[in-house]
Amino acid sequence: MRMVKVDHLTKIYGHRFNRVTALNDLSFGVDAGEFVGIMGPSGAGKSTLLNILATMDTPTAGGVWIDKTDLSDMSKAQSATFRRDQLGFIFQDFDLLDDLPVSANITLPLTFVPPVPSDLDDRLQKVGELLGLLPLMARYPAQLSLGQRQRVAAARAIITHPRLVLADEPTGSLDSLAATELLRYLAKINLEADTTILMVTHDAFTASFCNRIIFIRDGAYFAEVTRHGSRQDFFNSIIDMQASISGGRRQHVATDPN
Amino acid sequence: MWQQIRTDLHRHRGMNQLFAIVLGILVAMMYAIAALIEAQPLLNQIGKGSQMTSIFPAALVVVLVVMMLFSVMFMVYLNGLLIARREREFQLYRRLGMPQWRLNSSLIGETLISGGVGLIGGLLGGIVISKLLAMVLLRLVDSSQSVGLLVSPVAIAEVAGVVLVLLLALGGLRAISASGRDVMIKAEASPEKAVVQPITAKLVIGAIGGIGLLGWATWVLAALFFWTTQFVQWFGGNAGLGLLFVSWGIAEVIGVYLVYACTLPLIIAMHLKQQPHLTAKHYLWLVAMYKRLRVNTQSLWLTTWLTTVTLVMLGSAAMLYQFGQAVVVQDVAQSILTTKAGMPTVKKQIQVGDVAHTWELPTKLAAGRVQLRMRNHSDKQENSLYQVIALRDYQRIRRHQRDLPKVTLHSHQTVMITIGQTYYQTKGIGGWDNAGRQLTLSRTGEQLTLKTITNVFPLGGAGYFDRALVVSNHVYDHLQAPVDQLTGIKLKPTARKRVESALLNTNTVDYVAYDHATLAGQKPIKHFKHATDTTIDRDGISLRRPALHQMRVVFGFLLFTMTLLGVVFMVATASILLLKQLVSAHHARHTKVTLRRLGMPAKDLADLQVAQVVSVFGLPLVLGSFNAILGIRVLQMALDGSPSSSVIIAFGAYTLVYVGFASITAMRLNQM
Ligand SMILES: Nc1ncnc2c1ncn2[C@@H]1O[C@H](COP(=O)(O)OP(=O)(O)OP(=O)(O)O)[C@@H](O)[C@H]1O
Ligand SMILES: [Mg+2]
Repeated sequence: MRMVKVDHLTKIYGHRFNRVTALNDLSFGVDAGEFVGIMGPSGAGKSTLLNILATMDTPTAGGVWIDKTDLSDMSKAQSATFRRDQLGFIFQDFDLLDDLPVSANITLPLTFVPPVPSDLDDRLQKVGELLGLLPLMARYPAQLSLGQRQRVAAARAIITHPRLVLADEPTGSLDSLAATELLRYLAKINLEADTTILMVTHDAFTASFCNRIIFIRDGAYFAEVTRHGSRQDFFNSIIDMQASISGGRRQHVATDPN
Repeated sequence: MWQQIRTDLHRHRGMNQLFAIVLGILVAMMYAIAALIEAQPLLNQIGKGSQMTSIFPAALVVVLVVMMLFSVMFMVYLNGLLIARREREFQLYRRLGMPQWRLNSSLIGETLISGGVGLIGGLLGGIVISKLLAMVLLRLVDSSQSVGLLVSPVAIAEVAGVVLVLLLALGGLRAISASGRDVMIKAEASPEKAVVQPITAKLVIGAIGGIGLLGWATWVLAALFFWTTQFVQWFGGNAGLGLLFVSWGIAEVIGVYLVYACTLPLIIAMHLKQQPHLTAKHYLWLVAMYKRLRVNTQSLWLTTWLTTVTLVMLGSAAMLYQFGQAVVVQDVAQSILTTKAGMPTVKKQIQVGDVAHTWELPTKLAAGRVQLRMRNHSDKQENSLYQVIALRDYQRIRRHQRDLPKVTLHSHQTVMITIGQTYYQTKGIGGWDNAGRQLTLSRTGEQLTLKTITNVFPLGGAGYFDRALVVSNHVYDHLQAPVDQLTGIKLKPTARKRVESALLNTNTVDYVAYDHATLAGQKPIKHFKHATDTTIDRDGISLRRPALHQMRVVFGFLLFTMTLLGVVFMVATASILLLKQLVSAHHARHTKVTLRRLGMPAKDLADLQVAQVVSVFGLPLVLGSFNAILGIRVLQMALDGSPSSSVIIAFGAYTLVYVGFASITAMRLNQM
């Protein structure tokens, strides 16, 4: 089943004399249950893409369907409901609320619409354990390191058991151990709960947890790599593709050698 | 340098606008008053007929001085708040190595320009509102004169001079606060104060202290008599009163502060602890309020006091205005109240067809003895002079004088009428209902039972030497005592002016013996032509409308000046709250965006914002009104339970304007 369909998507910022084409006629699809990585150089339009998928930005042209719903048909209230109920978003700049302790930051999305779920504490306990946040629950964001904040943002995104997780460089500020923990968990919910995940990353190691990597450059589709064999092989082909994307060769389809 | 000033003016236009607007309003008010002071002929006209011609300008000068002092202090405070927002910018300039003199001169230039705009705008506005104010004043003091715009070069020079000096000083203050900023990076202020903390002993002690102090201060006002007696007992006369006053003031001031700093935050913290699973809307509101209370304690406290002072001024002035009227109405129930001695004079001025209605009220003068219980619960034997009225006459007068209470009597019952509130106010601490006491008419030995005590005299209090008694017709008819005839006259509207002005300057006074022997009933009651040590007197002729007019002039003027000061205080209150709200808006915007991204329903988000504005503006209003109501109640008690509908109007007007400010703030925040 198609979970996400991106169709000739174009996004242009600014007007007339000061245009930036962030996305340029981009098309691809993601099936339900996939764990897809998005890679590409800085400024390639990855965050823009994720923002549009999350109904926090609107396309200039083209369309996006999530679960067969055209995002452009959604009213404001509908898109808020969608973000609240279906989507977990790990923002590149975390977007935590400074005045709330870690625990309240994490459970916030569950409390928007009454009734507040009765298993709130259990859920909090579970994600906290998983992301190593239990000792930090009573602290405030200003008292956390960047990596810790990123884990809080991740916990907030997954506590609602969303069907679709959008993650914008979720491991950017994590050490390799913490990153591995988070990625293992994402892989786990991807497998067990059939959560569809789209993750932007710069890092080939992080990307190797995915099933498929879509490369974009200058806002357009560049190539993709699908995992068939071991993670090591997948990792190597990602590295190769990264080299070619900065080398400038354009490939339409690339599969890893195995 | 001009370039620098121009960019700064533009970059901080929000702040400069606020500065200019607030200054402009203050200048306009100051100018209007200064111009009124200069408008001598107008003031003379207003004061005419009230022997207060010289008091009005003097009072206005006092108001102007108070207003100027307050404006100066407030602008310094506002300036400080505004400049504190730019600390980061100054730090950056210094890190980049901008010379201090350049920063200084551009800051002073900026102050002069934005302040100059406010000054000029304020003066123009002042000229416009001066006419408005003069009209309001004339209306309040019951005069029908017309006025034009008041343009007074002297007033302009006075206000402009003060403001220019002020602006230079403010510019200097800005320069001082911009210098000496540390170039080093400081540790981020810990979020300690802003975020909900675990409940500490300090917080609990502060919370209890706040409630205790405010509670005690409230109790003092509610039971003033009890507490003054206590303090006088403990510390002696004047020392006790002084001490009570001082400790009450301290308790109020600290109590309000602690309520904001500790009590309310503690309540929020406890609520959050007890209810861990609140909805986001509720939870975020509580967290935001906690932060506001802890971070903005001072400004909440200050605005609460400004609100209190403003409301007390407005409310008591309005009450006095109404009280003045009520006093006259109680004193003279019809157009004219005359005694037998005044009657010939009145008759001389009245022509056929002048009179709409006449009431004759015969009374008998008698000494009486009664034991009454006072508020301190001791009995007091009282000998006094009573004008005795037959029930039938009382009922007859009551048909036209609606405020007279209904009276029914058995044969030897009586109703006493007196102005001594201790006796007719039976409620409140120390209040005592003296019903059932025996009253003896000393000369005849007649025994009467007191049924009740009131304070409304038939035809008005001006006709009575001291107290009155309403007795049954039978008792009245058999009472051997000299008759004292009162007459109430209602004039036709066409005749009023002529008759009243003719009678205004006559001066008839009745004197009656009031010595010990007379009061004890040992001597018959005797009238005198002149005052002696042992006489008591009353006016022979009392006029209602001229007295009303005089009251209106005096209290109308008071209300006018209080309203002027009230407007100034109100501008101060609103601008502090607005500023604080805007300062926090930047932070709030980030929160709003995040919440929207996470999918919080738009309606809840809007509710949250409204709830915050309402609470931040509402708290000082509620606490300030509470304080003010207590204060005004004391005055009301002192004024003998004066009517208070005008106080409600004053409060209503204040609240309305205040809510207007809050809505403007909410709208501005919504646009951000
Ligand atoms: N709000 C905006 N207004 C104008 N231009 C924007 C805006 N947001 C992004 N851009 C531009 O669009 C392009 C794509 O930006 P985007 O943030 O999507 O890149 P990215 O791939 O996420 O980069 P990075 O890896 O550095 O996060 C960039 O050139 C950026 O400057
Ligand atoms: Mg990005």
